[in-house]
Amino acid sequence: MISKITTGAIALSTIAMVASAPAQAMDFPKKNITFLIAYGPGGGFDTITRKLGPYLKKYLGGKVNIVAKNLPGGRGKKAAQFLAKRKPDGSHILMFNMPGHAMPNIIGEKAGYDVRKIDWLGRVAQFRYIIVTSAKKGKYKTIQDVLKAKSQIKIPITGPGTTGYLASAILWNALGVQPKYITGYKSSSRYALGVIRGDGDLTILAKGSFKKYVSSKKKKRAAFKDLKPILEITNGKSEFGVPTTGEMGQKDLAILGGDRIVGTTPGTPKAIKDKLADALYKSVTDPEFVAWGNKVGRPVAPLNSADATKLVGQLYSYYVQYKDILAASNKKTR
Amino acid sequence: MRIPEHRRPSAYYILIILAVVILFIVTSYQYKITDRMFPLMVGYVAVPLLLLDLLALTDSKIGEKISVFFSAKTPKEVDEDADPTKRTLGQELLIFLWMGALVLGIYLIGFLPCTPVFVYCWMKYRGGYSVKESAYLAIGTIVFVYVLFELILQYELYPGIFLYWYG
Amino acid sequence: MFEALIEGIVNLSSPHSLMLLAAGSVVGLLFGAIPGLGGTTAVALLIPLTFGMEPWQAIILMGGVMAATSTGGSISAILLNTPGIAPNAATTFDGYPLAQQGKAGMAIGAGATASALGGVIGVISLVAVIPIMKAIVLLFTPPEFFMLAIFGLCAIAVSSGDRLLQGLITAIIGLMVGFVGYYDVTSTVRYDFGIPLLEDGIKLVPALIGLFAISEMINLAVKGGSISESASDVEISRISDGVKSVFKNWSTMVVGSGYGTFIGAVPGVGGTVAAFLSYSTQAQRDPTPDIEYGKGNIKGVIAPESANNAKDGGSLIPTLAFGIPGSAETAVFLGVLVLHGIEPGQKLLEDHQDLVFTLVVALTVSAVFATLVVLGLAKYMALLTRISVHMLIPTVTVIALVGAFALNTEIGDVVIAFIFAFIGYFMIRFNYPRVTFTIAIVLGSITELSFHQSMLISDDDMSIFYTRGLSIFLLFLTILSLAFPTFRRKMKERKLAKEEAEQ
Repeated sequence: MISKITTGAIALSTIAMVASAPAQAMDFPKKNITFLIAYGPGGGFDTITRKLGPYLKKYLGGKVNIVAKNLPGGRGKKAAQFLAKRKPDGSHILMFNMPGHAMPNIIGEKAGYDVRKIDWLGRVAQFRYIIVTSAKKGKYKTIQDVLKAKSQIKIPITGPGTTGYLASAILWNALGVQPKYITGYKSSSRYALGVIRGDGDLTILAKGSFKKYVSSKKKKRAAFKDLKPILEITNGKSEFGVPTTGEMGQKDLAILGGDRIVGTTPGTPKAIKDKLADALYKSVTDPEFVAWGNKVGRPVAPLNSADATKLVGQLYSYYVQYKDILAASNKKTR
Repeated sequence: MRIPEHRRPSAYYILIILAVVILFIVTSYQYKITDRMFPLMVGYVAVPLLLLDLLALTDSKIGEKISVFFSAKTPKEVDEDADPTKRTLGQELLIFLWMGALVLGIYLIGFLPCTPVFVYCWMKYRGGYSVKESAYLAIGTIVFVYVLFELILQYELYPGIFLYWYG
Repeated sequence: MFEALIEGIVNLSSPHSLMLLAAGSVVGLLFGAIPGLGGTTAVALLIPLTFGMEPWQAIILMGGVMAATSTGGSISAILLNTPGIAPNAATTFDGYPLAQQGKAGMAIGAGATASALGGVIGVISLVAVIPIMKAIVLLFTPPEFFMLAIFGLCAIAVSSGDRLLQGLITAIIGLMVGFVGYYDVTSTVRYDFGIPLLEDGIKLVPALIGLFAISEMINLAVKGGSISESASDVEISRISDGVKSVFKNWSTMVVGSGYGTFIGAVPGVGGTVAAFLSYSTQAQRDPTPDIEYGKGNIKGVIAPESANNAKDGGSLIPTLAFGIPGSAETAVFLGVLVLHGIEPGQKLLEDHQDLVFTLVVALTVSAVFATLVVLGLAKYMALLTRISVHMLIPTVTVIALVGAFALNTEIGDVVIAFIFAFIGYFMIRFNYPRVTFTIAIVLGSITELSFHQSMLISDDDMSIFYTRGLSIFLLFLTILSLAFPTFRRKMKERKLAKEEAEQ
């Protein structure tokens, strides 16, 4: 009896789907799907994309493979441009680095894609920042010390126009501090090392990356071996028991951070897009994937297609306010 | 002060590098001070070095002195050290053409058709091998490339400009 | 620590583990030997295979790959004058002339043996410095990077020997090439001439493929014959002579390994610089060589090759201490660890010491295994130098171009390789040293970046370069290396005088 009803329900819903979806969506995916990676092998994007692939395969029916493909170039632009120029058939997807990938669009640079037009499938992960100083060499032990010092602070960071630099610039601008930036570090782990060895006083770091500098044997605050947090950018309660930007009355700053949002070629038929988005959401919320993320300090932060699209819009309009800072730091003199 | 006939090609080579260096210096001036500081330093060091190199080729006293200072050898000894292979410009141009055709072919229609064609043609027309021998090596090479890169490593070998963007 | 070592050995001693290690080793050899592929690609491509494995099994496979690539790369450097991976560039100096003289077997034997011993020394050093490795990594701040780069640049000049002027010129062109693209300090894109491909700079591997592999093929096409000119009348020299030569010149090998470990530990500098400095130091330590360096001195193969493999151990130092990769290969390796739920960095050493030692043991065994494979096959590989150029040229050219493409699946890199093939050919034709070019590309950006960073740190106070312990030491080394040619000339004169007196 029950099984009859179930069968009936399945049959009905199938009919409903056939009626509503274009024919091509029914047999999607037929071919392998390429999961592009905008950076070289080995980094965070590479790892999470490769880890996600098998789950996507599972939730797309298991018949086609998800092929991870590195397409580094133009600091991430090349892959996004490649994706934007594919046929809109859901055969290529890419995990975007937001807000980094939006920067060329915001300052009006020729990019070959537009983040406002990409078909967003959902968010996989996000990170938010903390401010850290060297546990041993740090001159400024608390955020109050920093606010008093105002202009003598030195901050090792990646080059102007990068996500980390931008977040620093917006943060310190809001807090009324004019630091001096030591630019040129190639990655956040490099500038974190810069702080540890005393190149500069403090820097901004993703919470997840920070955790690798924390000794695991004693998970107490006293066990921070090399880096010590002094400020957390959040409107909630601090994970590390330090002051937060929310407590300082800077609620707007909580948007600063990074979001890893998967998108596909603009103009992809809705049925295909929905199917991909659905599979992505299921993958990201798969308990096994969630457990992995927690284990390696990259916790998932799933958002569905609609919310992710909304988030991209918010990020865009937030950062566009800082267009001038951005453009100035990105421009050549020609 | 003149440059002997047999050292002329070397001199042209130096002049070409000099032109590139000057282009580099001129380009540098459009960048901000931090961005152009090192490149300019390097560029301005290159100019006198190239001029010295050019002078060392002449049959003058100065040329000899420069040569001895930098290499402890007189220009004559340097000549004797040089690669004795006779090279003609026509011969070199021909080989550049072959290589250029290969790269252009790869750009237009991709690796898979170009690989066997190039190997076959080179063997047959430059090496003077028989049709059979040339074909064997051509097939061997493309099988190696295909199996290693496409099958085992799962690279999508470049399919040519048209298929790349519109395929 | 001792228990962890035992556990590492136990992990590796099952037949299944040994098979994984051997497979990794063979893949590493092959990827090392084909220009453009290299260890980074090999590790990246093997990632999906490790999904079903235990972490320690994945580590064994990857360790096998990483320890074997530079051994594989030495083969193409010696036989075809084409470094399989960038750090093998210095091996071409003396390796290729040896092959041309029909002594390819000896050169391969020496290179492979030096690789194995260097690898072992590197790993032992790694284990020895585990307690102090954080301190080592923290020693290198921007001023030290700057002084190290200056030291390297001066070593270029000195090692050019009697083509000093030409060596300086090519070094400068190399520096210029290094300036192309995105500059991290200011985020400016320079010298791109509006070409998107140049935005990221000219990548070393396609440039090397053009500069060495394809230019050599053009050169052979113009000259005709075969690589080993005297091959028909010289028997392929005994491989065992090469093996013996390493033990005879053990100090060369030890110093080279020291360079490899030390420089490998400096993140971002890596094996290319280590191998090159090892070579130039060797040339300087030996002012009166039996055979001139660059003309087929076997010590010129031993020095860079031992440094090359020792750097595998060295580059793990920053990886284990801070989770910062010491090389591109270790960067991908870190990715593999993360995929298996292991977070790199200090935690790795504290929580997973058994895995660290599994890797240590795998690296050691693989270095030795790869060498045995190479020694076994060297005789056949050396035959390559006797093949007619008209079979070699088209196949090597095509495979080298595919390699240039494969690195980033970027067709523009094929064009770059082609352009550098021209540059390389003219360098051969007019006798301009090509390796100084390579090293300058690497060092140029480090010099500029670390200079500007030092100035930002010190508020434009130049004293930062000579008021710190390590930078003073590096400055001292630099001065020493510059003074050396004069010293060497004096030695030579004295030797000649002595000989005359004896007659």
